[in-house]
Amino acid sequence: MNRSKRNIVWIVSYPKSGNTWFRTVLANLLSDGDNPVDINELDLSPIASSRLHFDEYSGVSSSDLSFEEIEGIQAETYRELSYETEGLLFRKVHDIWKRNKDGREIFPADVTKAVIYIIRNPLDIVISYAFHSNRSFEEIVAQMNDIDMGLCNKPGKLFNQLKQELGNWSMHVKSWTEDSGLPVHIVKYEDLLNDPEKSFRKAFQFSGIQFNPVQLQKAIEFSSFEKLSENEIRSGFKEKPIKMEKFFRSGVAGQGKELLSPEVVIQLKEIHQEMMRKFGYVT
Amino acid sequence: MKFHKYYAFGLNIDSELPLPELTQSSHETGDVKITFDKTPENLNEINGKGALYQVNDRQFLFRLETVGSYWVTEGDHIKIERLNNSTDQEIRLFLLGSAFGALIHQRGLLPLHGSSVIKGNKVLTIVGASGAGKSSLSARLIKEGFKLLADDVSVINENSNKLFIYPGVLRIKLWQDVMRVLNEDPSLYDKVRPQLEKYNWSDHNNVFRNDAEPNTIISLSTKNSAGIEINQVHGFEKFNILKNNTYRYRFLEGMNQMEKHFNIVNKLAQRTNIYTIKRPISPVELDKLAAIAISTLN
Repeated sequence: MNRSKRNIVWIVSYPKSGNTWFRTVLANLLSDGDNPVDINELDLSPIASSRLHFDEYSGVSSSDLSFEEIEGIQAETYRELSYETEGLLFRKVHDIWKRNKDGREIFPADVTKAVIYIIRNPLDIVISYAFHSNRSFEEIVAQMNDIDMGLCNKPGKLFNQLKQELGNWSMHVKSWTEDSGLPVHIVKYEDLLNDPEKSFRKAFQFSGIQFNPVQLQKAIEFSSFEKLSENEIRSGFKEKPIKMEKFFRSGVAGQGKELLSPEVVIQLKEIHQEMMRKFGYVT
Repeated sequence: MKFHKYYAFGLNIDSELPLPELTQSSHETGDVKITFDKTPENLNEINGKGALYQVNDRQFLFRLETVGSYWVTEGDHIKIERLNNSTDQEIRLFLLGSAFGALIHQRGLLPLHGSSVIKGNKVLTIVGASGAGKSSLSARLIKEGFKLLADDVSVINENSNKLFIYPGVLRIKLWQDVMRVLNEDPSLYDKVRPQLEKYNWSDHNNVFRNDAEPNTIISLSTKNSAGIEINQVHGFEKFNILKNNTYRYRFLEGMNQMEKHFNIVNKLAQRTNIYTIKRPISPVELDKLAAIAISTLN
């Protein structure tokens, strides 16, 4: 029985690259309401690495499985989700694109409608990440250069998300935009800021969403940095890590250049020069 | 064939495989048989499925390539096929989890995804998603003089118009970081599986092997701000909490057992006190959490 249906849109980015903002505009576009969607109700595009999702759709407790076993099963849980859903599905992703040890892809092409890959100047990611995790710029650069970087990957502890391998920043970008073979639409965070209407429109059209210009404009207005920030002050944000003071911090581009020391910039460029040049982040 | 006899989940179990996590029994007639046998690749008819299972009105098939295949039929037989030279301990882990979960649904009993502990005649059942801290809190309560009634899955049924919660698996699976918080030495306990930093923690003096009556249910979850919040739940929300914390709810959808499930959840909602407790995702603050959990019994 062939039940294949290409209906999952993966909203992918390295952390702190604008994924939440993108999902907020998406939520406002799809809800098409008279008021902004609450930032605590972005459940329409939950994270793909949810442990709860895996356990339900696999029929086993992921906490009793090794990382390798989980990677062997993940793709099938996404297929199950796809089969039982009419219409488009959206999932947030921070993982690198990769194959499991049997050579099978974890984000299966046969149920993928589109990949929206959000890329941001890595110098700015450093600033955002450092503020958001109370760590130094140097620590964040070390992390962005680390080919073994991952989230929720400590072995002696249970996280509410599955392990997510990130690789280093360049590997992450390359994996999705060059290696995956999936239909990928690349969105630059800086373009979302400079010309939101055009950039969001192209991304949503690529995802197969039906909408008109008035709906899009309203969704963007409802997701302005000021509105998101007000919403967070009023009712908190459940996706904020506990150590982070405020999730929506500044929402601008270019701070990396101003705040990072030349040494830190060199450390980052040493590893990511090629990919940064490709996307116009160094000249 | 010699069978080992146990009493768990309200059922007399005859098992070819020793199950030291359960209570031994001397019953004459068993309700459930567990044997090693060949299992099919697929069910003939499939009403529901997940990545590792297939289900219909009378049968359930679960296959984890690295451990084993489990064929659960008519609510009274589990056939196990060992795969990949897995150990007995690994076979038991998924037998006492997903395979028994399916069997319990087939019989129309209610498996809640949660652990139960008892002190005096008061039962505290802690439900919640994986990672909410159910096992950690249960272990902490055992150090406060509670006895373990069931880990991870608490089975409930009605008998002569009374609700019962049955003794289940009498060990708690704890991760290394929680063992440290509880001042337990991981090296003194067996790992759940060799590749996981997760241990079978048990204290045979602190287990409860008889049927009990459900009393208070806590739905435990995490939040990203400081302080522990507790709220008592009323009305329809009680029903929703129990439905949402039903173990492997998706199995039910292919089994034609929804009506039975609805009825028992409804009765349990009416006859128990239900609270939600939200704890900071870190630090765990188990001492405070235990004190708040105990306060719900007063």
